[in-house]
Amino acid sequence: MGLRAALFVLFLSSGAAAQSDLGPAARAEVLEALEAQVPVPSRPLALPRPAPAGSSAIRSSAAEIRRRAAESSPGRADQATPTATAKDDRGKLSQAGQSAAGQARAEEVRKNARLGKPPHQPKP
Amino acid sequence: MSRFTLRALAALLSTLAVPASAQEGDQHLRLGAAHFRAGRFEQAVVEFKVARELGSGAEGGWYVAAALTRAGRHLDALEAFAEAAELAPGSADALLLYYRGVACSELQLVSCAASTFELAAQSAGPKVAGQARRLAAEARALLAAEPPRAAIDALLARAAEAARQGRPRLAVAFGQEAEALSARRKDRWRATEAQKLIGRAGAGQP
Repeated sequence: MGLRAALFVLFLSSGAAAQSDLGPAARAEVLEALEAQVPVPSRPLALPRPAPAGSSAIRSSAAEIRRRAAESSPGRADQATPTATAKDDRGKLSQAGQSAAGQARAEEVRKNARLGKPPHQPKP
Repeated sequence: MSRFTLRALAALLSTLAVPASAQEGDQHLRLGAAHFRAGRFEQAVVEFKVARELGSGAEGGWYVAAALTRAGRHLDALEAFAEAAELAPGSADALLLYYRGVACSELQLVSCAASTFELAAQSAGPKVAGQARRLAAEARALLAAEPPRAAIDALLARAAEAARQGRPRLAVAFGQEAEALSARRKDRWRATEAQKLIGRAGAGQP
């Protein structure tokens, strides 16, 4: 009986211990970071206007691209093109594949390699 | 050893075996948070995406969307917010709603901005709530007058282009904004078209 009771207590406490440092703490850090960098809209709110003839209705304006380049880390002008950056993310993540932690680690290695590259990459 | 004891030991061992992927996911969340705090928003996007892939929870999509907003990738952010709202609606923290409001605002989605900021203001901390209330009031002021047809035309053009580009969530977002503005006009300018577009995009049709 004593062994059963001890196992029962251990069972209950291990569940709590396994959860205590996971999830909630990391989430709290993220929310703290988000609160520290709360954005304000960069321009006055206005109703949309039709795009000029010949241009894409949802392509980012040249001004927005320049603003993003200025806001990003120094020397990271290669991030200016939003579509290209989104494609890069998708390419990396498709390579990361399913849930295997090893593939995600490989993606992390590729990410670190990307960060280590010089800021301006000549286009092929 | 009795059968009960064996079962209890097995259960105990299973609770101690925390999935490695969940731990790694949290590590990437923490890395993402550090990048975000330091203003390295593109790196934060990558870390939050990796965390989401490693199973840190569907709410990771909200963090990705917030980081995209701060990185100035507002179209991607709007898309990511729509996906996060589908997959993890319960994780819509007031702060994340505020970020969504900013993304809407940057894309000139006035009705989206108004309603999202109002929601955020209801339960956000004092600093964010104050800002959210002010921005919601600005958006509502814009919506007081009947919106011009040109605004609805512009939104429907954006929705159609998003649908052509295979981005149905964006198409739905622009279509819903067009529908909301149209509802404020006496003539309900292009309301049926907006509804059809939303229906087609929602069904995955171009």
